[in-house]
Amino acid sequence: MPPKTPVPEPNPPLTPAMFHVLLALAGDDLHGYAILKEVELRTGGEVKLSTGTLYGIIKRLLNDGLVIERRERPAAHDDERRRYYRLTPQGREVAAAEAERLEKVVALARSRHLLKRTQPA
Amino acid sequence: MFGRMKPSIKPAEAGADLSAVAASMIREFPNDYPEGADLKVDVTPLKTELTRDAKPTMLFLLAAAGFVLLIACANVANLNLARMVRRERELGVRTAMGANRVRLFRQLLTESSLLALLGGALGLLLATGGLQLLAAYVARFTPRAREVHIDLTVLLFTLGVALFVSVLTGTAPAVARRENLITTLKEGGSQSTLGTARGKIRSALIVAQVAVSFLLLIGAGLTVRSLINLQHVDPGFRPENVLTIQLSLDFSRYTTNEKTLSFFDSFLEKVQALPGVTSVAAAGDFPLDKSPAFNNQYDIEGQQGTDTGKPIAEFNVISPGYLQVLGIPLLSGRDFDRRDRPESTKVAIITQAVAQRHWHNQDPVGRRISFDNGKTWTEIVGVIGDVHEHGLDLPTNDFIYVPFAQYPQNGPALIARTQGDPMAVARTVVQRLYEVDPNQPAGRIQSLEQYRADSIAAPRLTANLLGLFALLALAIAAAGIGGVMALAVSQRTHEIGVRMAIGARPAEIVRMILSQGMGLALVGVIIGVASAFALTRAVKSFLFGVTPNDPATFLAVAAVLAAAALAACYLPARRAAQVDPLRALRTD
Repeated sequence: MPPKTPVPEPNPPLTPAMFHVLLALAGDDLHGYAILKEVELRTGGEVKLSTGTLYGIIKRLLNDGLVIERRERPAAHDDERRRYYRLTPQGREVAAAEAERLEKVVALARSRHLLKRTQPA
Repeated sequence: MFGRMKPSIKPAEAGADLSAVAASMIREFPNDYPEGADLKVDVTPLKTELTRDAKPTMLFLLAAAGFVLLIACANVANLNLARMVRRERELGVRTAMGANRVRLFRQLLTESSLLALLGGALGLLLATGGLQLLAAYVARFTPRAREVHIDLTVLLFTLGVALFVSVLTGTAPAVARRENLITTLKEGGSQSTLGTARGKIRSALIVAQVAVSFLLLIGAGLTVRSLINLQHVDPGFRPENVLTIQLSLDFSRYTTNEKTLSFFDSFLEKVQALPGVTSVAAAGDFPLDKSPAFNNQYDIEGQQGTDTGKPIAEFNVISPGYLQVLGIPLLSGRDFDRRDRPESTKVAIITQAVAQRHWHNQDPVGRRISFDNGKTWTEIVGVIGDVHEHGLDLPTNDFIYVPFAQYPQNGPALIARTQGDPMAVARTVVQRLYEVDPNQPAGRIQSLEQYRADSIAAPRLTANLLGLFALLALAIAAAGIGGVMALAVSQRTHEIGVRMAIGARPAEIVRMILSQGMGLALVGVIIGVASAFALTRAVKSFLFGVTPNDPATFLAVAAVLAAAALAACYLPARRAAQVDPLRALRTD
């Protein structure tokens, strides 16, 4: 499905690390460290991003309009120095498109009996 | 998510509805929403979102324009009053011929309406001319600037204001008109002394004009001082002669760090070899580039704390030469160099603020920090000066720089210090880019000086516009004072003649007229100071490095206003001093 609003690049490709960051932000607005923790937690420690890598990813996602820095401050008890990031509608569409693509790949792999366990989609 | 609300629905109601929907979704699909996740629905009208930055400035300028209008009204009302003095006899005759108050009032209103409408039309003509300038100005605040145009609403607003002004300025003299027909006809026009009611209105109008001018001048003075302060901020880097080119590498082709690094190694080498280029570097960010920032917490070896109490710094990824290109001073240790490769020890450079905050008076070079809760450590190799990264009016943030070679970026910028105009070598630099990769486009190309100028463009234009309004107000108020004093002198010719006949010297006459005019100006200034104290807090957000009640600005503005009032009163005063007593007495 083509995006309704124009994105900087048509069907921008996603690196796996970028996809994980988008997935992390699909749940809630997060600050840098929380993104690192979220990605590590959700992938069972398989994907570990460093601050330097995350910096590059966030910059790229910000420049491409897939995430924005949240303007309003989060809850009062939180550290106000932190910068929070939020998925944009475009970012959500791009992440969804990537998820669909992966789903098709998985379905293909399953049909070739490369996956032992089958799960309902 | 975007949605159009039904006409009768308020944003808060829509927000409540959406929150209810969100809550029911969380209830129905508990597996899809993490437990305890704080999911909220924020509803912001699109209009608010689009005009958020512009609103305060525009309201501020609207208020200023309103003040100028007020002064102009007061002035026109005063002129009308003055004209009435000369027309006293004519109106008396009209009354004697049977015109009632209503008809006289209508006559005056017609005249002032005509004047106001002509003024409004002239203003619209000027506005059409100035619209382009205005749109360019507003574009700095809101993406909707291109929609600015003169439409029916604007025309109706202008018409409304013009009619309102005409009623205001036309009725004031009518209200102050004298009732006694016989005196009016007997006294005739020119020699009558000022009617008390009218004299009071006129004085009050002058005082109001001075007071409002004072307010506008204070506003202009404070914003101009802010601008000067901004221009004198030491940014921490040297913006002149620096070329910047934003790049966005195609990461479907630059899939590995090695490919990205090798691209930049050859690109930087080619640019460095250009005759007009003295130094070149790649960086994730450069100062004032307006790109959103990234910050994260880190640990200091030996000072590890809990998650919440950890130090936070912004990050930038820079190649060797970044400090040289931007002229950022290296205070301790070394710059990144060829030793810092992906496989070598992870290193970082910190800013002075970070060093002082965490190592106080000790040299942090050789100490270690961690970005992953102490699993791996990064050695500090250098300390550099603080940089105003996000704006000259914003405080410097804590910054940690890491080497580009250790953290290659897909979307960095190339920055180069040039010998002359940086834009002169831009084309050649882009040619070198195509030599390295013909399929890699260059992004935004701009001099760093231009970024700096852009960063203070909004305050500069606010100061310019407000300055223009204030000068206009000053001129109107000065002309108003001068006009009223001239009228007073012409009305008091006889009295002045008598004074001179009984021995008053010209200097005393000058002093008398001046003190009358300056008295009014002084009352205006006092009211102006009082209102300014009450109002300037509202402009605080537009100011930088100057307090809203800055004594120097207040004094300077009072002096300027007093000087203008003095100059405006001096001409009539001199004319008064030149009155020939013989002729003055004979004219009675």
